[in-house]
Amino acid sequence: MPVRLMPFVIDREQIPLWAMKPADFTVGSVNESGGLWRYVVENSVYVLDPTKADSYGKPNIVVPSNNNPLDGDLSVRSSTPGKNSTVWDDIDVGVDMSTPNRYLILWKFYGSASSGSAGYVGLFASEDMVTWTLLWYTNVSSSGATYRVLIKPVRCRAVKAMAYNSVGGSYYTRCNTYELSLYKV
Amino acid sequence: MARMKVPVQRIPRDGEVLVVPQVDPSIPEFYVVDIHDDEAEIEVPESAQIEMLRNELENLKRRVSELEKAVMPRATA
Repeated sequence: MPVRLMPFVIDREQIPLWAMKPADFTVGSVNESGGLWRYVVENSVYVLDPTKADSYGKPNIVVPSNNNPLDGDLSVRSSTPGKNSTVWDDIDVGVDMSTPNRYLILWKFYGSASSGSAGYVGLFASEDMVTWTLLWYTNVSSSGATYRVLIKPVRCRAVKAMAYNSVGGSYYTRCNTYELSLYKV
Repeated sequence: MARMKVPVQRIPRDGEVLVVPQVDPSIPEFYVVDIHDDEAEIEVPESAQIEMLRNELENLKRRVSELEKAVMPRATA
């Protein structure tokens, strides 16, 4: 039985302003089981159903034709092309929740970069759709890997993935999302 | 997780502004936990710290090997 994360668990640090503190809670131990998100906070296990996310079924604002990231299925990833930009560029997925709020964000994606280059993938959040602040960042390599990210910004309206490549040209950075889930908390 | 403070860059882009902490390229992964004006506090997960230490160790081994090779001919001469 999926359990919604109770606010008291995660509101350990009440920070009123997004601009002052983009994230007040970060944990690395997120996983999945039986098609559900599963993660551990201070020895307590929480399970969330991706089809119950507040972002479930919303349009993908980065690649509108790519529905995979918001379809509630943790097992199938998108197949959008990589980016050869050497500066931050939108990639694969983004969602606009319409109103700023406190959201728990869970993101699973496959990241890789062309051999001979370094790839960089980040998750950005915005409260006004103009200023986008980096929340989380990772290097991705040519061998590729599946990444699972759990983060709770204090306040945001939208999130999107961005990426760049160290070389560019014929070298690409890829980010293919299995699922991006935002839960209002 | 280790925390550190780094400068923040604001990058104008197609009517948007990206707020991006400037980190050492050797840091493979981090969370942004706080931003004050032009300074951000980032959190580096333990897994990323392990990767950084392994890379550092490999670099040190390589450096030692290079130095040994440089010293060896002189020692045997």
